[in-house]
Amino acid sequence: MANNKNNKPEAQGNSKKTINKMIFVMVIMIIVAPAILIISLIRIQFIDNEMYQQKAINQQLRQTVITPQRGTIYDRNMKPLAQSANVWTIVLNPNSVEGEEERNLIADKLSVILDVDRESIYEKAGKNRYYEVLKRKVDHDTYSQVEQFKVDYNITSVYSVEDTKRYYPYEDFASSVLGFTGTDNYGLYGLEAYYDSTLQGVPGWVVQAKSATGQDMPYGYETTYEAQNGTNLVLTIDEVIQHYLEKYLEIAAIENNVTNRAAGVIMDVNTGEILAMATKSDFNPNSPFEITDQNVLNSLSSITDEEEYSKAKNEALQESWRNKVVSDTYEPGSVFKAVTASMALEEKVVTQSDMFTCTGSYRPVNNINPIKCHKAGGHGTITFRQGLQQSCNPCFMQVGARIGPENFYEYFGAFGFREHTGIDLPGEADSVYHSLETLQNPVSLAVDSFGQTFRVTPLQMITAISAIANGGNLLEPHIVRQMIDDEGNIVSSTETKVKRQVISESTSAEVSEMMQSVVTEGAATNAYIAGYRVAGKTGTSEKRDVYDENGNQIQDLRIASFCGFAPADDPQIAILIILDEPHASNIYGGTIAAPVAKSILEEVLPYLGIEPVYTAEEISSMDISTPNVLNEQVTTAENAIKEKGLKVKIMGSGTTVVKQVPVQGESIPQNGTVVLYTDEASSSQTTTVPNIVGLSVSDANAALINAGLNIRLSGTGFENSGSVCFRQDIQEGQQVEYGTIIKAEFRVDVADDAA
Amino acid sequence: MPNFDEFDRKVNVAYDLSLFEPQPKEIPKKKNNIIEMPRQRVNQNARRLENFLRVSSAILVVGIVVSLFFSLLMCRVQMTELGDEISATKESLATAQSDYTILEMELKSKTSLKTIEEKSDELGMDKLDKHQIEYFSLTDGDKAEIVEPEKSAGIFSQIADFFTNLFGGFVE
Repeated sequence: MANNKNNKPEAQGNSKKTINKMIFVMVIMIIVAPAILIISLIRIQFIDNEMYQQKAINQQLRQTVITPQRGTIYDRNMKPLAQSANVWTIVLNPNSVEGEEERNLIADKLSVILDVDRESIYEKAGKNRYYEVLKRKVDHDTYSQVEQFKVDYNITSVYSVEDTKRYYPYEDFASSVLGFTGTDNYGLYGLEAYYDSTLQGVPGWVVQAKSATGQDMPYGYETTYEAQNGTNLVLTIDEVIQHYLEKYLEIAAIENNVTNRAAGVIMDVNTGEILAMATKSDFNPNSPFEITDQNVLNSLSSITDEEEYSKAKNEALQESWRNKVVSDTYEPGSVFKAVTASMALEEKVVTQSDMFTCTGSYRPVNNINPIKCHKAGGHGTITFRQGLQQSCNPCFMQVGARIGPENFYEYFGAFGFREHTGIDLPGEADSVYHSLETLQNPVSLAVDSFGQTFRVTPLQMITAISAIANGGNLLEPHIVRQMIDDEGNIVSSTETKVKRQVISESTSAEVSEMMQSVVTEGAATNAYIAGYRVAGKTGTSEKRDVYDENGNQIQDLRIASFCGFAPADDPQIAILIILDEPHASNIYGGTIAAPVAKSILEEVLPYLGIEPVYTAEEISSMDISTPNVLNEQVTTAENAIKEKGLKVKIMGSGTTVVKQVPVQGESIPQNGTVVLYTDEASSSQTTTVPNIVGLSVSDANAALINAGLNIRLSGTGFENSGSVCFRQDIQEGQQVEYGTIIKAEFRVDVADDAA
Repeated sequence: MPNFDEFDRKVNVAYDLSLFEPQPKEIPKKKNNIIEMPRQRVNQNARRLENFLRVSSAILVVGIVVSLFFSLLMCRVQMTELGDEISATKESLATAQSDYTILEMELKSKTSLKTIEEKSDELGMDKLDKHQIEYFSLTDGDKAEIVEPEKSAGIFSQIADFFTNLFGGFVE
């Protein structure tokens, strides 16, 4: 043991105190430090675990959205009317543009590829931004050209973002029904808006692990939640029927200079399915923000003030998108008389043979101005049946009084005029009608009886007429038949919904028969179709609520309409045609709306497999096919033609037929004349076409026969004596060959004013 | 009593009696061909063999592990490549489907009823008219029978018919 300075022995090694200190420190380290760790762990794992988990997920995982494909809209025969496809949006990052040279290059090349103004691209390329859209929704070809441009010139400031675009292959076809989508692929109008959530689908996700540098690590962790594509819609609309409706509606709108749009709807009376629905003028859903109506464009071009122009354009666009059948109301006029007749017959307050007197006007109460009939001199004494045929206002005012305000109000509601039809389209308008209290006034009741001073939607009107046609059942109209998935499995199906029985089957049959007589004998003869039984009612309602900019009521505005169904003995379809504010020589529904319905039904009924059944009289008046007698001996040819019941006119002195007019196979009226040319000299002879516009059938026929020509009758009502020619296909004064067939269009000018 | 013999043998150094005992004959070692390796060398050799085996197995194991590692890596690489290929193909499919949709829409637009009617008007075509259909009336009980032309028999049927007719004639 060593000694220290004091010669005392030094301690060797740690003292007890030091050891104790060390033990203490070790205890701290062994117990306390882990305890702190454990407490932290408990806090992280159990208390704040969710927060840290989320942070870890956010840091370690990347979520990518999988955009679902928007559902397709098909017609009832599975023809696609609206479908989406992938497209690209071309974007520029101006901050990455390297210098003026690249800026010019991008402007020069992309303006050609994208068909965009060069200056706008150049301007965007100079901005101090990271994101500038050059063009939206370009197709694959354009996208490929942009990608090639990037590779060729080593451009990194241009990139593409995937997007989808909605395509409407038939352009303005059923546009007011389909609606359109916006740039963000959400539905904005029509079915696209109403069924937006169904069509959208559910987005999917790809969750992938990412490295510290943000790179994907696909096999580190990856989970995919597949997107659910939108459900597809199968409509009740038939593309063929829709085509015919739009075609003839457009022709009528142009021919009659309709200034507040024309609308039409065709409905299956037994199921409530809408087979066709159209409004003209409308828009192209591929470019919904462009106005296509020339009249509107002309009126907009005259506006110089920018703000006013913008406002006017906006209003015009809204107008063009509007579905007139669902979203507009109108005074139905005389078409409503069919409903009044149903009320009266159901309540047995009138029979078909009851007599009424029409002197040209009627006072429901004394000391008021008389309410006029459209026939100034009055119809005289007529039966109720004739009252409907001739659309007599005084007759129906008296019938309305018999029905009484309470019953009238009740039936008005029962026929669905006080409620929405429930159709699956947006923007269904509310009707405007008299309250029960107001109807206590005999004048209100009287005017309501012939369809004026209240407003309903065209859809409500055709639904009511369909109830008359189908045995008295008020149906809920619908436009979507089924919803199907991408594999064609039916997700849901729309069933026929009967809201209530409004009238009895016997009343329905009786009114249907009366409406058929309106077409065969009354004011709707222009809707008559040989071989088919058509029932209908015309209407010409007065518009009293249109004012000019000075607040003065604009007079003489009318809505011409026709509503009917066919076949009358076994109704299948109902049709309603409305021409709002026609400006023509004759603006009555019977004259301009009924022929539209006739033209459409002539195409649609055979398409639906409803074959014509001609009466003997109809067959006897039908055109026949010209036989072929070319190169025959004159005598043989003559006999062959006469066998067909045709007449012969021989020109020239030859013995063989070198030319015939009409040619083989061309239609010729029975008792028409076939001209046979027997030598070249005679075949050059011609005759002058006379004017037959304004002539009756017999007068027009005589004029043409005198000129050595044949007549082909077309149009409407030419079976009736009141029919006059309003158009001839070959104009007066033209030189044509003898025997040429002149197509003459006839119609009956009817007055059917409900005012 | 102590064993004095043993005691004597052991302690009796004065008289080395062992000298008087018959000495065992020394058997001369046989000369054999076996060359006995020194123990050290034997051990060394054994160690070398052991080392060799150890090294070999180590190398083998390492080799297997490395192979496994590389095959795993290759699998990963292939999977990644396949994954990229799948993605690229899916992308192409989506693009092709879009192109198909767009082209189909264009086709439908060009073959719409409106376009067909316009074109047929241009070509001067007419739709089927009533005058091209001939109507005739039937009374009750009348029926229409469509006579189909007799189909010509095949060559084998003709041969069979020939022999049938031939033998039929004989039978008759």
